[in-house]
Amino acid sequence: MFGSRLRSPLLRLAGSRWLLVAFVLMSLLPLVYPSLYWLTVLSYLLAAGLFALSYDLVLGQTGMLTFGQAASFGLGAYAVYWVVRAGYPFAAGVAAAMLLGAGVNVVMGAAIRRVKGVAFAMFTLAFAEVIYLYLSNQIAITGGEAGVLSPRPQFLQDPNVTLIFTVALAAAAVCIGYVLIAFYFRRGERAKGIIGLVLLAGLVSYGLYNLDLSVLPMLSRPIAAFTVNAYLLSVLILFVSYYLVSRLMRSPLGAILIAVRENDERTGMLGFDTFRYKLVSMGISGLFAGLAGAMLASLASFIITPDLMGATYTLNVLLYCILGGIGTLIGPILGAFIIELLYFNIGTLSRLVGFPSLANWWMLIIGVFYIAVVLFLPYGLVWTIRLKGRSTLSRLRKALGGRS
Amino acid sequence: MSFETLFVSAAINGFAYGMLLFIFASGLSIVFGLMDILNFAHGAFFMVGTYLVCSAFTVTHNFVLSLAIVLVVGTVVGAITEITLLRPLYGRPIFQILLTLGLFFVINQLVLSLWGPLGLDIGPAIVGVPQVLSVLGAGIYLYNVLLIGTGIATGVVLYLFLNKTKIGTRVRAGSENRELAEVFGINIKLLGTVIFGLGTGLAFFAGGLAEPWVGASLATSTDFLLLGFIVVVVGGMGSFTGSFFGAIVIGLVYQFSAYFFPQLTFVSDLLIMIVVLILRPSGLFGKGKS
Repeated sequence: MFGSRLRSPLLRLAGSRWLLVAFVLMSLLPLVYPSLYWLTVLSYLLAAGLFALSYDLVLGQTGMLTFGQAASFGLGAYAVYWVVRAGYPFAAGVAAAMLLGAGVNVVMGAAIRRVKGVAFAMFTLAFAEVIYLYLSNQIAITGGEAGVLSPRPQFLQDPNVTLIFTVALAAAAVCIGYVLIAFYFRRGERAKGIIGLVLLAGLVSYGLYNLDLSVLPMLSRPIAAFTVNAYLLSVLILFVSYYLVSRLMRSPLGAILIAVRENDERTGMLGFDTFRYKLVSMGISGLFAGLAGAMLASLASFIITPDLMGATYTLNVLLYCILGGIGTLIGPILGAFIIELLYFNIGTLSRLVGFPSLANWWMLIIGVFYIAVVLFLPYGLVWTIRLKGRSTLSRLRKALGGRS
Repeated sequence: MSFETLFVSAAINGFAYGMLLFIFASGLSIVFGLMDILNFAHGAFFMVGTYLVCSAFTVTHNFVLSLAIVLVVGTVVGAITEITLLRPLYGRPIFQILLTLGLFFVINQLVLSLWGPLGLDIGPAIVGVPQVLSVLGAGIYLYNVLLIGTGIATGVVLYLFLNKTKIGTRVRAGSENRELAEVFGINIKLLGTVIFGLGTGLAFFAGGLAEPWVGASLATSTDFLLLGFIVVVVGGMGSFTGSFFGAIVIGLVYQFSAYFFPQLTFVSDLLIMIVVLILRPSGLFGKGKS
């Protein structure tokens, strides 16, 4: 973002400063607003966000329309349940979830050698649906329609973990604030640095003022400790994953994936084995989809049913990406947050609007939402903001007589 | 029941089911062929057909008339949908998928609110065909045999429409090459409205026909949508002949697995689709345009 001027690694971090700020704010949230309900909901949103990120990697970056993404998501959720229930440690479960997700995606993606475009979408839909239908009938393994609840990882129920987490994050917050401010001062933008300082001071004092220490005694209950820890871990996983994926897209491999998206045949002509790169993309995406499933199952305490593997979830994730902006990585995550919040709050929202009975019409609301997004926001939030925001900004600058 | 009885029963019912699927999927196929639209609302249109025929029947007490009403209403609904919602989205498949999906939800909700959560059922006896035929010891509803006849008749009419009329020729030209057809002065937009109307009408009509057999319930929208996709893919995307033979294959496989391997009822069809896609990506009757 700032070219070669950034030499020191600390300052390079400042390049993604908004991300860091968001990370710190989200991880300090339990201190200010320790609502177990909302923390659980947020853990769910974060898992959905990671799922959306994984889908954007295939759809947005590599340009493959797959309708089977939910298979690796749902299997990831089940994998962690199966492995943990069998007595293996939680980490092994997560690894199994990721590997299973990647494996399923690679097998599914292998079909792209034969079928392309809409036919590939149909193929993946059928593939995922077969897995879904098969597992729905295996009640002993999957719990059938009633589903199963994954056991909570032991170490996350330890209050000390929360304390360590929180202290580390608070230290990180101060470091990040320091880096950002130092960054501006070193660039000679004293004004911005001072604004940053003031903001940081304001934030810290706001945080101290609102600091809800009731979170501390609450943590003696394992369930509360778990909720806070699970939330913090979810935040960490999503941000690290986002960092890794955006790093990947800036690497040579990412450039090839984008080339495949832009022109499959030409990339092949240039000597790249596009089939292999598509498989790599599917595999990495499956890795994250499986991880998202594992997050959902073990961190968000979501009851896992075979439905997670069904077409509904794939279509949901497609909507996340469309709403947020296909191919922007951050957009699908935001889309997931918005849509899932909408789903969670249809009852509250309809009461706010004044029609409590509106909640009974949820399918209508969702349907109209789909149609409205497609018709009125076809490029998604992030692209729209980037395009419109830029033109607005340049117009503002022109009006103020500055450089455009 | 002996094996032969079951076999005959499965074969005839499978054929009848295939004809239902054909009427349903031909609409999907024609729309996909001309407009490249993967219509996720097609199953919902089918479901509306099943409910609408019940309501029409309770008013008119004439099943054939009810079917005609359903067909006309479906065509009008389809044409309006095309003009208002689909026009802005040509050439953007992902958006069309999401839009028709939104439509799917909206229709489901409307049906739920209008007709309630309980399904409706007017059996073959109520619509005036109570006879049960005995074929080699197997009891077969006359209604299902009539379905086969209706399916073939619909197929012939559609075939003649596509191959012998001016509109049909234009439709085929447009499916072959949209731009070129436009260059030659074919009004593709108007044609799109007509074809989407016809496709939706066929979905409604198939729903109406299916009602006495499968009943009217909210589940049919998803079930038939997926079966329709399978038929279209197996037969070859956009191929009319393909959807006819694909529907027969899928219908027979569906009923045979329902009779002999109930666990695999729907899975077997999905597996056939997967195998066909791998061996012949363009489908059994596709022209290699994938």
